[in-house]
Amino acid sequence: MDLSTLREATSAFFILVGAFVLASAALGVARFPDAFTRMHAATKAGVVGAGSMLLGSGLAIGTWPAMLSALAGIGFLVATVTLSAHALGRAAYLSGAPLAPETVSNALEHVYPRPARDALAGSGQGSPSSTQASSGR
Amino acid sequence: MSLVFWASVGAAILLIPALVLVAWRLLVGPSSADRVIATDMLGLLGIAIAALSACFTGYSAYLDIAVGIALFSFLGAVAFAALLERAQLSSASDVRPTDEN
Repeated sequence: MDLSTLREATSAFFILVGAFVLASAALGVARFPDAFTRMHAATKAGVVGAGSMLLGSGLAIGTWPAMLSALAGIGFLVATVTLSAHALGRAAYLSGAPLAPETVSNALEHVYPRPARDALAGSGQGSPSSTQASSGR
Repeated sequence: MSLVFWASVGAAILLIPALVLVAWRLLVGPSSADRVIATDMLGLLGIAIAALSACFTGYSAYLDIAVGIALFSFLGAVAFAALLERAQLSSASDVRPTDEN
C-alpha cells in the first residue's frame, strides 16, 4: 500500500466520521428536551465533528500549510469550546430557560435568582415568532 | 483523489439534514437560549462546510476561512450569552429600572 493511498484513506475516514458526528449533534440539538442538554450536544459533539472534518480536509490537501491551518483551527475550537459552553449554559440558566420534566435534581435551585419564564421573550418586545413560540409551549 | 471526493460527497449528504434540523431549532426553539445554542451550532456546521469546500476545490485558503468562522462563532456565542444575562438582570430589577450602567 502506497503512502499517498494511506493518507487519502485516513482523510476520507476522518471526513466521514466528522460528518456523522455532526449529524448526530444536530439531531441532539433538535430532539433533546431541554436547553441545557441541547447545549451539551451542540458544544461537545459539534466540536468533535468539526475538528475531525478539519483534520480530514487538512490531510486531504496534504501540504504543510494546509495541515498547520487545520491544526490551528482544531486548537482554537478545543480551547474556546469550554468558555462558550460555560457562558451558554450559565446564560440559559440565568435567563430562565425551562428545565425538562425528567430533571432529577437542581443544585442551583436556591442559589441564583431566576425568572419563572424567558427574560427576552417575556418582555413583550420580542419578535412575533418568539412570543408565539413561547406561548405555544 | 477519488476516495476523498466520494467521502466528501457522503459528508455533504450527511450535513444537509443536520443544517435543516438546526435551522428548525433556531426558528422554533421555545426559549431564547435555544436560539443562541442553535446559532452556535450553525457556526460549527459552517466550519464543516468550509472544510468540505477545501476538499472539493483543493485550495487550502478555505481552512483559514474555517478558522475565521470559528473565531466569530465564539465571539457571537459569548456576546449572546452576555446579552441574555443582562436582559435577565434588567427585567429582574424592577425597583430601579433605569440603573443599567
